[in-house]
Amino acid sequence: MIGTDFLHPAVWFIAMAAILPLLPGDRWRRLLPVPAVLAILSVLSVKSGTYGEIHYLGQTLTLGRVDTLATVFAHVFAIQALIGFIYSMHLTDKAQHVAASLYVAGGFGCVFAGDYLTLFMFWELMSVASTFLIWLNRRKDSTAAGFRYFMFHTLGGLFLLGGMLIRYKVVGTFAFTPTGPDMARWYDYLILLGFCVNAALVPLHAWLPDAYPRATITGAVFMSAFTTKTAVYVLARGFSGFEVLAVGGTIMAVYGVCYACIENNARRILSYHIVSQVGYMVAGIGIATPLTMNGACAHAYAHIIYKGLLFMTTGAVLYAAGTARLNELGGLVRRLPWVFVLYMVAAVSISGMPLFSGFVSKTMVIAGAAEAHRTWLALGLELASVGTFLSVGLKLPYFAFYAKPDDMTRSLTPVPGNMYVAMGIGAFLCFFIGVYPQFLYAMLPFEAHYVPYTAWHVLQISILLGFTGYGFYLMVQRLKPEPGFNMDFEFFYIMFGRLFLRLCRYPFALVDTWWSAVYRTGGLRGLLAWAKGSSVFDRVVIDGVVDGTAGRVRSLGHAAAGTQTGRLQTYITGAVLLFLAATGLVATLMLLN
Amino acid sequence: MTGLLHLLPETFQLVLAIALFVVLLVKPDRETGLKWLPCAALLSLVVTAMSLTQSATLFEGSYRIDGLSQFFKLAVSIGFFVACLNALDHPTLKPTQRTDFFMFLALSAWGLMLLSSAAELMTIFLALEISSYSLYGLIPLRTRDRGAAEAGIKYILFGAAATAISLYGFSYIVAGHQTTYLAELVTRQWSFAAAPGAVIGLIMFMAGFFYKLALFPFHFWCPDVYQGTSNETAAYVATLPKLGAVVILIRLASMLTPGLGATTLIAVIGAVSMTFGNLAALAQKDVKRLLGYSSIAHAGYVTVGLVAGTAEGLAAAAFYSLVYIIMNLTCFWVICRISGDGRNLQLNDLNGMFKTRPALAFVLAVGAFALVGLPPTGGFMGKLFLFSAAWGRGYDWLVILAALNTAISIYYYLNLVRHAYTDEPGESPMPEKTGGVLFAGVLAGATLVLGLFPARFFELAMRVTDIMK
Amino acid sequence: MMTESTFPLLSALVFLPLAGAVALPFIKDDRTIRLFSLIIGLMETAMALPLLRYQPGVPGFQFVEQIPWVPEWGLTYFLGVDGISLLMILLTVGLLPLCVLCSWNYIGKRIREFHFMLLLMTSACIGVFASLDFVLFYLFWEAMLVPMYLLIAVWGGPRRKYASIKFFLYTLAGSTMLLVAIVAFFNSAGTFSIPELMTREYPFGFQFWAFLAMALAFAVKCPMFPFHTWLPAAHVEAPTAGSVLLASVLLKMGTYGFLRFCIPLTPDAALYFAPLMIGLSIASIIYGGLVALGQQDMKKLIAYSSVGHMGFVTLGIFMFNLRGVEGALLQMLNHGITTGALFMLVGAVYERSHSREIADNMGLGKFLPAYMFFFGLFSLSSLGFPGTNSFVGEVLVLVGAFQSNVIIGALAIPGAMLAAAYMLRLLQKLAWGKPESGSRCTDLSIREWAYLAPLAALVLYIGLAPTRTLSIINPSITDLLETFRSKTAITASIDPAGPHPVPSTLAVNRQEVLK
Repeated sequence: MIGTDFLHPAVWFIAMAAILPLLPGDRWRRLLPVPAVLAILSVLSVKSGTYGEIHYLGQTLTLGRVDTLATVFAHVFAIQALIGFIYSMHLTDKAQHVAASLYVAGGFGCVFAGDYLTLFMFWELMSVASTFLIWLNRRKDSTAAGFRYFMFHTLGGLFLLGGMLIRYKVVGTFAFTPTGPDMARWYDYLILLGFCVNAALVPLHAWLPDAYPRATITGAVFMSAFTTKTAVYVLARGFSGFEVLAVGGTIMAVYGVCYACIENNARRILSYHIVSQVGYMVAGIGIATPLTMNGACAHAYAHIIYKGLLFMTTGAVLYAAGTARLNELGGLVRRLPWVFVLYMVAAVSISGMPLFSGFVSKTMVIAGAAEAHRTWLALGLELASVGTFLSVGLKLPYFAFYAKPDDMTRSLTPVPGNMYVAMGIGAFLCFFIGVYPQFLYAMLPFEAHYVPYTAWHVLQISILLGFTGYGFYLMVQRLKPEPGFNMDFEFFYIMFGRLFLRLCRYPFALVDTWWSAVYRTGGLRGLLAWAKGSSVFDRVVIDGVVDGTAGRVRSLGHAAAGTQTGRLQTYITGAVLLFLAATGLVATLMLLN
Repeated sequence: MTGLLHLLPETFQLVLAIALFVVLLVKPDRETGLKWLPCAALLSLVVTAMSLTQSATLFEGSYRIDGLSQFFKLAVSIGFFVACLNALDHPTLKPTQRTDFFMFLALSAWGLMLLSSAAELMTIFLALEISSYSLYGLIPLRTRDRGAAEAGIKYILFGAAATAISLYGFSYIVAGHQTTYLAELVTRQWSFAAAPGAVIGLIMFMAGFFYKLALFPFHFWCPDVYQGTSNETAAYVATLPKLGAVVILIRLASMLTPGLGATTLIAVIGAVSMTFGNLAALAQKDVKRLLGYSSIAHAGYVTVGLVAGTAEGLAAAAFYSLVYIIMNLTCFWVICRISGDGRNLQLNDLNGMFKTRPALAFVLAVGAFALVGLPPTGGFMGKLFLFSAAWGRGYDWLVILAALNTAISIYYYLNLVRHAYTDEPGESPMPEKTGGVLFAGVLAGATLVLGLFPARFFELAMRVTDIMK
Repeated sequence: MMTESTFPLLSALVFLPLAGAVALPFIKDDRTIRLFSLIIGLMETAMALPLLRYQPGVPGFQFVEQIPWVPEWGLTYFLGVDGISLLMILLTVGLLPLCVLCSWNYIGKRIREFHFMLLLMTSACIGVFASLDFVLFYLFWEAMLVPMYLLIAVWGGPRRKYASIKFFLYTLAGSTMLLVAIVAFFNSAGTFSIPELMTREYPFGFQFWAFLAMALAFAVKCPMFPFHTWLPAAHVEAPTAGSVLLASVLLKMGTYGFLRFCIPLTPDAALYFAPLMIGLSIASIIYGGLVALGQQDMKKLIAYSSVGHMGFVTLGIFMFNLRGVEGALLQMLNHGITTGALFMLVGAVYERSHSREIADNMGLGKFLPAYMFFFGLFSLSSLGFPGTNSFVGEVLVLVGAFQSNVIIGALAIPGAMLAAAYMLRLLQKLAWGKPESGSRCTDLSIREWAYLAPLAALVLYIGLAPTRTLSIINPSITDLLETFRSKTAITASIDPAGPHPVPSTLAVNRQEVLK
């Protein structure tokens, strides 16, 4: 279906999904990384251009619209796919692998889609496949969460569908081309809304922290990489320069962090950080200077890798210890030293520590925001990065690996080697990009010059991180006897004072819990209640009316039969009278006319 | 002598009756086989069929042999043949009464034949009485059943009243138009304004035939009589006399045009009677009584053709009445076969026929769905022709009403099938007499043929419209 | 105008099952009866293949046969197909052997009668789609009621008596007025031949009532909200094969009627009533989806889902534009395939667990992987998942809807979401629901594979390469709409007024700025 000069990476994964169920034994696990490798090759080999136009429903579908913007994402997708599949090589559950590869295929499809129709198809493929990644965790709460997740994404998909259909009506084409805020019609906003659902733009984010922690260990690794980043890609492609994105992105960044600070479940923390980090990218796209656009792409690139690494490491902890709740963990550093190290690499990357990938990408966005004289946004993003370091860089590892002494009663499942390999690759890339940013910058789509390692940048970030670390250190000293959780309460108290504390603790917490509640109950139970109601209506009212009518006719029949008294005199008199009556009736009718 | 040749069917029928009378005189009290009777009836059927194309006017124009009359004579002799066959092993009849029974049967059929040719009011009247009187004798013939006698009384007295009315009306017609010959009456004015007396007279005269046809409001006798009399008699009473009534009504209706008071009256009566019949039938448990009400409803359907006032309309009415006797006889045939001891059947007696008597069950289903008017049976084609003829003639409301009535009626006809097919049998399977089953098959086949290949028969029916030229 | 065919293919198709039915009483043992019916079904299918020689380009009807029937009334035995009926006939024919297969174990009693009814049913259904004489059409239309009634009333579930009578009464009552309409058409045009009737023009007053009379019959058959009440009852009680025929063929007759009669014969009235019909369609979509979501009984759920899907079909039809109508027609086919298959699957699980309650059939995924694979595929298709057949249909209908009016489209979209909701809920419960109940069940047998695989193949084939199918139906629909427009003389509700210029973009991410 695709020209010789461009082998659509999705093909490999779909192929794997197709043949995997047929393979016997468990040798097949060795094959898992193969499609990813092939994908990397085909991404590296591809030249910009348009490939694989097929005709479908009287439309021309462009499966392969390749340009630099698409290539960046495809590149990192391929790498992350490789890492992910290596990470999950130990799994014998075919279903998970099939779902994962379909999911990845969907991601590639979206990135290379040249028109909305193609985009929509792969978009839906992703949402369904990822739903299965959640369900396959096979726990009660994960099935429920998966269902909510799917409902929400279907909703988003339908916004997209509706928007693109209307757009088709007006514009007459499904072509997926950029739209500027100045000439965006309302249907464009409908599409934008659809994208924002996947980008987890606050307040459309509730699905993310709800679903990811409940996904399978490996599933979370994939999902953290693809869904939101695909959304980032389509936003960058179609909706750069929308103010709503600039502001919304910043809000996401801060919001995510604030809520991450008061979370307990490690994977939930990471989920909120996805919201936060994606915020950077969305903001960058919203500001839409070449620098920030590049920043968004670069950050997406870096983020996919280190967030993947974070999920892999916490996943490893979960795998080993059987829980990801911080208050149940602690002191694992002796027994999982390598996991700890690898985790820290990712943590410092996400916090934007120099020499690690986060630094070279995140600062781009912030600097870009500053250059574009969007001071508030820049500040917000800075602030967020502080919180990031605090929660992911300090709090999470502290309580996961240190805090209380490890209780030796807990038996740890040994972490399989392939996980270590995968995490190793991820860590290496984080470091590599950090020290050799040109590797990343060379790929960036837009003309913009940026040097990360200027004195000011390094100084600035070091100060921030330093103070954060210092504060944490102080506070840990003071709170040592306290049980794990409310420490960040005190911490904020020290750092920013009660006001900011209230700001982030109560309103955010309340709003978010409230919103999640609405999302859970209102979203689903409401619908179900409504459904129950209408089925009752159907049974009672409609059937009632129909059967009632039939019944009434029958009773009418009984009445009619009642006239048959069996007494002759009534018969004859009745006959004569009725006959006269009929005649009289007709006569009057005739006279009336 | 040519006259006799024209009169072959009637003559033959009369001879048949006389023969039976002779048998009665010779061996009054001993049981007689009468196995020859069906053959004779068949022969009369053949004769009638042969004289189908005859046409003549006899006895100073009081007696017409034309398409209409021959068509109905054919129908009558078919009915007679089936009735004889049906009543041959009549369980609720004293052996000594068998001959009487068949003689009355033959006489009444003869009367009906005369009726279908009668073209003069007095003749019509006499023919009507001939057929009726033999029926009066026929109905109470049911041993071990007081109800039969009661039914007989009802039929007689009710008939008397109806006859009185029509005689009274007859006098008005004569007074109004000074003639009793249909040939001349056709040329007269029948609008209320022009000849009020004559119109009223005509209406009252028709009442007698409404009674025969069991049209509302002269329907009261119908269910009681069907229920009271024996199954075999009911089979006859439910079918042939209606033919006589229809043929006369066709002759009279050919004088009327849509929009006249009389026509509208027929339409109204038809409408009420189909609705009433179907509604009342919904409440029935006794199969014969149910069929009684259904015949009231069907009488209503026939009027749809009468009011059209076109050749097609009258032809459709004739065709429908032919279909009607066939499908009704089908149902009655099955009923008589099932109730071995001649008792009245309740719906529950039909339970599980699919297992105990599969063939009869199928035939019953065909008959029932034909009465509903479901394709591909004759009932459907008959209805279609009736509706197509009547539509656009000023009585569209009647057509719509008739269509709606189909929907009402389905329920009780479906009940027959439902009991036969979906309920488990009460008793063990019993052998079916191959003869009975075969003939049932023939009747069912006829019903289907009338539905699938009606062309030939309707062509015949079209010949009834000779009277219009 | 019409291409005559030498061999009376359509008659053969109509009468072969009938002949088979007549032959059945002479076969003794049950197994032979099943085999015999299966063979008849396969012969039928094989015989239907020549229909694929249908030339889409040629206007008018093909494979036409016409024999005078009742000259006095101008009735003719008149068969023929065009793009609209062709697919339906193929669907009906193709389902026959599958139905025989899927009731192989399900039907335990009175096997002979059952297959008798099945074959009768098929004949009547083919007749409905093939007949070009209005009376002949009505004949088949009504004749099909009886076998269906008996299928439900004899082999049905516990409440079969109620359901079957309701089905019979309700559909018959609906179609009585259709007969009156037929008569009225004959009265005003002097013929029963549908192609001739199509060429005439009728005054609006006439069209008004004629449309109402016909629409009632078809709306009950579809069924459209609020005339759908017979459907769930009938579906739940009917045996598997009965449900399959109901869903796949009977419902289509309603929409087929709209396409074949309402639009060509009463165009003005159709246009006049379009808002009403569209309203009802949308109501059906939403309502069906909601009620389906509230069901505990799998069969009821699927039954109500059909209400929603048929809502999409009628919606597409009353858009009066190419996309909408072809989408509707395709959706008719799709619904036939998908829902039929779903009912077969429900039947298959019923044979194992003897319950249709979702609660009694949870967590089958572990024990019946193949079963769940098919179930997943068909439920994805049912919720219109990209790459499956229903997606094509629904998207076309939606495109049509949006072309004619944005609001309508926007209203229809939530229906799709509901579809996703109830199908996924069902799928997830069946696959992973707890407590697991399928432990003792065996996975699909060869026979079950045999009747599921073809449908699955069709789902993917139409989903991935709909062009062939669309090319068959496209010309007929184009003609239909051409005449419709010429009769109603409307130009609104058709394609968008020329493509706008695509909005230009920000300097920053216009393509040429990219390296």
